[in-house]
Amino acid sequence: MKFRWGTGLVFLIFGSGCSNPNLSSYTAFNQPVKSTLADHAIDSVIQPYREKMMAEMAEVIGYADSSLLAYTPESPLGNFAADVVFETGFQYAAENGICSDSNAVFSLLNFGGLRTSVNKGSITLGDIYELMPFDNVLVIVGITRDKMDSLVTYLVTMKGQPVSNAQFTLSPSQQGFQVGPQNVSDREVYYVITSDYLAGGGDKMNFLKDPVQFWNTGILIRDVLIAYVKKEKVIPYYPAEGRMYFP
Amino acid sequence: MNRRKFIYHLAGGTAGLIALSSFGGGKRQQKITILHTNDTHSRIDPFPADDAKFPGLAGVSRRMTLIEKIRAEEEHVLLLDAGDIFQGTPYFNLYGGEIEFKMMTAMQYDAATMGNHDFDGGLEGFAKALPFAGFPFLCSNYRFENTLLDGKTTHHMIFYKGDLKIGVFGVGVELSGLVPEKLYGDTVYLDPIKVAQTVADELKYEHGCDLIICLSHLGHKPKLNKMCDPVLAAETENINLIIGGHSHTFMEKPEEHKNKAGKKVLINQVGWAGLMLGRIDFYFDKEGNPNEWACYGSGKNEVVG
Repeated sequence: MKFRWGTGLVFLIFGSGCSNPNLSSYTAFNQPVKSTLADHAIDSVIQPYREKMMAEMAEVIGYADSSLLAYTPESPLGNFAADVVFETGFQYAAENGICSDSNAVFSLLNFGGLRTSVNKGSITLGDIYELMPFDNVLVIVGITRDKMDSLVTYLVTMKGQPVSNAQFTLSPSQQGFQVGPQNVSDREVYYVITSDYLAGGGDKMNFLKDPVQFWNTGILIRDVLIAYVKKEKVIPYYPAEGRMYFP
Repeated sequence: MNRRKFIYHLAGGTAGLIALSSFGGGKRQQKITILHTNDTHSRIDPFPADDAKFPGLAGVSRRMTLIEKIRAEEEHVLLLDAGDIFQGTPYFNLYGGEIEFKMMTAMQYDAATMGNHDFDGGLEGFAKALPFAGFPFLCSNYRFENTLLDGKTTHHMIFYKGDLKIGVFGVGVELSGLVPEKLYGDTVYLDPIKVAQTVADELKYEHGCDLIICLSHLGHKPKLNKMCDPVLAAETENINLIIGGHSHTFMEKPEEHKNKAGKKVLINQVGWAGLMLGRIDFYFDKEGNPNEWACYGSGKNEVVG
């Protein structure tokens, strides 16, 4: 009882009798972490991690003619990644009897999944890990015609995403799509080469969920990009060419 | 009431008495410096010198130099992170988050919240890296009871700095549709706005916090997430500062918003990759009007991104 009373007294005096100071003002100063700042001694703790990482990742696997950046509605980096994924996926689709009609197959990625730029000059293995750090797998999904309309609506909302072998018309007054070189837009099923993440409805791609057909290639998208850079050696510029079309 | 608790209160009271007499109850300023990052994404080393966007910028070693400089100048500092510590460089692919947490521990982070990419190694991957984190993860709207993270995160915390009580909690983004289900397992997501209001009220009315900070990985843009920080700010009260993340939004200075009660609430976010360090200094005094706290200057510095 004695302690309880004592505590109560303390509260009486310092709790209600002496109110806390009030928040009265603030200053704010968000500052860049510049290259002119000195390295901290902590760097020695990073060093063994860095050396092991560099030993695996510093290998130069190719060269970029120009820097490739990602942005909406259509960008060099998006076109590069979508083209590479399309090339590999279409070959897989043809070889495995899924579909060999180029008017029915296209690739679809998302800008959010391209995590850095490709810089002009040498491309290391680590650069591709930074571009595509996720362990996402290349998949092919067969979706119905009505889902293609949902895709168009989605692309309008998202202001574009990386695609290859397809063109999407996205202006308020005119919307539609064309897959492949011929303008045939009344197929029953279209084949979308994409990642398991997006096929599972990632980045709100709900139209890819519950497809009529689904193939998992088991190949990491990162490995697809690495193999392509190693094979081609020199990566050209991928200019915007109206894959996202706003008439 | 046990004896230890009594002594604790008495000790606090004595400190208050000394402070009170030395200032005579007049205008008395206290200062707390809030430093923060978000979406650091395993960016341990600076961007390469030939990077197309951020040549030579960022890096934890330099960030630590900057933080230590500020710690040497300021008495009361809180260092916080709004999530997405994982994923983005091979450091994560090779070491699963170990080096990220080690560095944040060395920098003396006080707390962080979980972003969607902190689930990228699955709950198991996060749990495996967690022993390297010498700071708590504040997760108020994720329920991990039925997962292996049960008991490994903290709902909210109160930090005592000088005479000030600073309440901090964390809200995360809806995982469904963003993170593969197999990675988050039986994690339960609760409405972050409802949860934020409940926690903020508790921190304010039950614990008497002088400053309430929400670490948010909801993002700043409604396009990315309908329940974004401006909505969180407008639909709650008793939160003073929302430290944002997820949308990688670079802010030169905090945005001032009005909360549900028409009072001021700040939103601040510093892009990603540790390219910037967010800093807000809050001042407290006897005459301050808690509803109309003023801005004495902010921002003039260059902004990367």
